Amino acid sequence: MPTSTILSNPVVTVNSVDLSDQCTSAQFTERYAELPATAFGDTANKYVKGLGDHELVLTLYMSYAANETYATLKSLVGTTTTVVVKPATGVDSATNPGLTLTGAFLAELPHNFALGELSQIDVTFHGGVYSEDVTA
Amino acid sequence: MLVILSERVGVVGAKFDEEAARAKGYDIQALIVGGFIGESSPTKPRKASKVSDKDTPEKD
Repeated sequence: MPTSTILSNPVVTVNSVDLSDQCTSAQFTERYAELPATAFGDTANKYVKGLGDHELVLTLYMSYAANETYATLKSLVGTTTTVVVKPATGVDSATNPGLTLTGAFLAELPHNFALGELSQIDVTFHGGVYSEDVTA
Repeated sequence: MLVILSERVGVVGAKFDEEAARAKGYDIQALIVGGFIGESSPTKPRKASKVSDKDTPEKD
């Protein structure tokens, strides 16, 4: 049964800066390499967990004003930082986990200029160590 | 001492815990360049200049 309707509550922080009011989508993927472990005698493929290869893709309004999107991201391109996404405002808990990537790499910062539209960008934080903060 | 300059990071004027932030993997320099945190201004007021209580001599 579907239980999570995303309205306006998720919290997104990039390098400790709260960008929730500039964000329209956050896709957090916890992913591990699958290492083949199939051997003679097996009747189906088997895999074991390999290196983590996590990712967070954010869709953000691009604001060049002070203390907004560009000011947050401009110095992070080509470096690593910590990004956190959680389903709702309020303290971290088992039902409101702070999904965290520590040491995530930002490879590129796109700039979109389209006539008559609010500028939006997709940025991808790749790699880093995944953790889940469930304590207040 | 670094203090918070933007509500996006926390309470404006509050001390920014640099060590804790580094431990969490935050890029401090990026926060400074972005204007989110900065060095606090000196809290100790400047010493007041001394003013002579003698009357200024009149000119002819």
